[in-house]
Amino acid sequence: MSLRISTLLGAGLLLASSTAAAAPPPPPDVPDPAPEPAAEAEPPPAAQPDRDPAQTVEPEPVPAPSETTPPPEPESEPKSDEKPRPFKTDYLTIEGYIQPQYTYRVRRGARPRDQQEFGAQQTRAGLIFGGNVLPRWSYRTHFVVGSQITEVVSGIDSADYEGDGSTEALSTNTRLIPGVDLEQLWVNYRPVQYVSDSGVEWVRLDLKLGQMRVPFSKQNKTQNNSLLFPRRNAAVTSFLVGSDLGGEVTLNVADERFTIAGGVFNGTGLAVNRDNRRGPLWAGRFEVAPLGSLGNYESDLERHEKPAFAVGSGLLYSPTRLFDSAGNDTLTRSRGLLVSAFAKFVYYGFYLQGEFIRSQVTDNLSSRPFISTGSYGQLSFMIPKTEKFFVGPSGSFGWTASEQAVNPLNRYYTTDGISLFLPNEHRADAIRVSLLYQAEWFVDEGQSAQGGVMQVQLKF
Amino acid sequence: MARPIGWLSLGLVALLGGGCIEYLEPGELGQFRYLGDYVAEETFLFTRPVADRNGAVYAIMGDRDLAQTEATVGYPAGGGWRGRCAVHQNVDRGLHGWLDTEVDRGWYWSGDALVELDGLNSDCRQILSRDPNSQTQLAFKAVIPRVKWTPSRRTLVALVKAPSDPVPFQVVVDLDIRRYTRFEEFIPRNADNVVSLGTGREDATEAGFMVVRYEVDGDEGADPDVRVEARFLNADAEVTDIVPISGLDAFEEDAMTGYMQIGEHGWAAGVLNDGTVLTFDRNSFRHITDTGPLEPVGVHLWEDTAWVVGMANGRPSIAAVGANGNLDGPVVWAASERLAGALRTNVVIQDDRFTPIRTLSWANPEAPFGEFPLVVPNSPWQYAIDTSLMMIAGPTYSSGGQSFVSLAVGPVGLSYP
Repeated sequence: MSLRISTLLGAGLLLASSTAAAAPPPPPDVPDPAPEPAAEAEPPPAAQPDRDPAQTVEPEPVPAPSETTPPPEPESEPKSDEKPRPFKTDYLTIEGYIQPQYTYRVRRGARPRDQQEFGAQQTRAGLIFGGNVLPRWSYRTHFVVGSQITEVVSGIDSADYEGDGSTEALSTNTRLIPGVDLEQLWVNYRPVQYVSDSGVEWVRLDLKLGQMRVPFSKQNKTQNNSLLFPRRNAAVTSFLVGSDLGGEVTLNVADERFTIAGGVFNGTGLAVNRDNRRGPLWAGRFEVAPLGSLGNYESDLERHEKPAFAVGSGLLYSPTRLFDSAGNDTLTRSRGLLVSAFAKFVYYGFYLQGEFIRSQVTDNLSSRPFISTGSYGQLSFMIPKTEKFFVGPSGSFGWTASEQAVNPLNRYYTTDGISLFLPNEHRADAIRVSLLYQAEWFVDEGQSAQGGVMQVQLKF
Repeated sequence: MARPIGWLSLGLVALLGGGCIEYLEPGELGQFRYLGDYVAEETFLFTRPVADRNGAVYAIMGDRDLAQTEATVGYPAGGGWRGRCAVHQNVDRGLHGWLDTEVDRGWYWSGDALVELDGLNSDCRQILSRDPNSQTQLAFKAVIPRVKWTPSRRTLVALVKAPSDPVPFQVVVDLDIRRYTRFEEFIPRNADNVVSLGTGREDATEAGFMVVRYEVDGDEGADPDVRVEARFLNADAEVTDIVPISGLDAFEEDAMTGYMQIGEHGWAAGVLNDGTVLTFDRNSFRHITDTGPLEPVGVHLWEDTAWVVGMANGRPSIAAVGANGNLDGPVVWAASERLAGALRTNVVIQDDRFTPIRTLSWANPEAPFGEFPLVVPNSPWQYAIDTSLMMIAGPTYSSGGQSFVSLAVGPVGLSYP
């Protein structure tokens, strides 16, 4: 019954977007979640050149149908944005990215030691393993590796604040060491998928369990190597950081023109201390793209020939019980509520995205709500300079206001610059070189910082 | 399918509109937490409780004339009260009160001591008790009650003096490394007996102001020339404006009942211990000796308006500091009266000092200072929108010939006329 309703709704959406062209060409990145695999018995698809119109790589000849195995049945045909890669089989696909990054930043008003920051500390790499072990069953693990990603205590010093030779306190020395962070670790089961004879995927249902980014914020859901800038906007990371452990149900309708997702998580991805809080994190999100799915890639390397847009909203609800450090119930019950809304627009290389997030946390003891708001906007324009590379000027502006119920702290951020994209036969953004100006203004705290970032992103 | 979308949209609209949050009404009591039992000294100031950004609540007991103080921190979310910090310096001065708080710290000024109380582990430390260079004891003669906080450092401005110094120094104190990072000698350098009558904060300059009294030797054989000045300082401890004040020569150190406050019109105000009011801006001053029926107790700042608070005709009353530095006519402070009415009943107290946490009922608790709630020398702490913190006194008992009183701290709804 629900399938029929979804199908009808999808048909309506399709009718409403009758002026839309066929589904846009595949984005230059792997979507999340991983596409449903072909049946296990089917051979791997023959390597295809990237058909992205943004790419001008000489196409390889496509084998004649008679030279390959028969195409899969429409129902089991993968609805895939993936492109062929060297390290891909049904069982295992290996891909990843390397992001060396050099940062130079001057922070006025800080302690002299902290006034200048420079170096390549934020360099990181991602290694992604994915695949399909049975029809409808897929998996994905995504490790983030960095040479200075984990902070450890390396020693203890005595602190002589009075300068009288006596020890008033102990201070810890810390240093950053190589480490591994787990970004994704999940198994996905797809019980429902219906693809019409015309190739339209009318409905798809995914059940995912493991570690993943919660379905709430558009940019938080976007993977590290699909971002427009080296890092997510502070307006997003002020509310959510990293991924979370839990389960998620996702329903896609009418070729992902309509997506709704919901799940329950541990809440470890919230950007607040949850040491002594216990309770589930409920998350939900929907996205509507009447003219065709735009995916989670930030920019328009595909250069959509017709305007396309997507809007959506998310909601997080986190009821928690609070315990003291000894583990006793404090009788305090807290309720966190976050809402987000976003809009995205692409047209012929132009990309514009904005997002708004608001958080309010209340409890039954303090009579003191914690209210925070953040929003950002970012844009870019992809210019094909030659057949071999794109130039993409880009910019973003973000704002956060925390603790608005007492003493609001307003902070503003901007990142602006230019990126060069070099394609290969597999993807349009095989290499991206970004030169960016970054600044932040903490207006209520009287501090600002400015600097530059150079990042090279290599995808494989 | 439309239903989830509907709920999401409803939640979005509610949140965007700021819905779902109910603040305390003026005069309404929130959930009070049992602070502890303390010696029932009538002269105890029971200065305002404050809170840091994490939600930890700080309480302190002491008196302007008592060389003794005790501070404690209540962990957020009912995590109990910990630490009884008793750091004090100088037997001739008493407690001034909380200076400021930030993310997880609170700082108080007691006697000549500047003390930090950690809101995470209740650890308390005296800051700059000794000069790092000379190793002589430092006295905080005046402290601006404002901490300038940036993500990388926390500083405040103070007037410090070592016994061997002829005049004090205006310093910027780095509260993290516990050193002064800038210093400037008090001018004139031939000043003697420099004391502070009171201090106040000014957010616009990220520092504040102080009223100082000092003596300058006159002609040989003549009495020294006594000068009283209001001095405005910036965040670098530099004096930006000096306003000479006459008629206050007889006042001594710590003559203000509490911290001074500066309102939106640029006029600072403080209540002197003889019940008169001093107001000044960067150019002139007023010494208001006739306040009509109002018996001033202190100056409060609420939503950028400075209010002189006190009693008039047996009722809590309040008078705004006007644009010309004079006081507007006093009006009854209805919020204080409503709070007094709310206390004339049984108040539920959460005792989270130890586990298991329990709830108690106190019959007719009282404001521990003054006749009416919040009619106190220092401005109530802005805890949330239209919400402050208040201390109440519950049951009393005797033990070993000593009288004790049970105290609790909690949020209250507040409004100013």
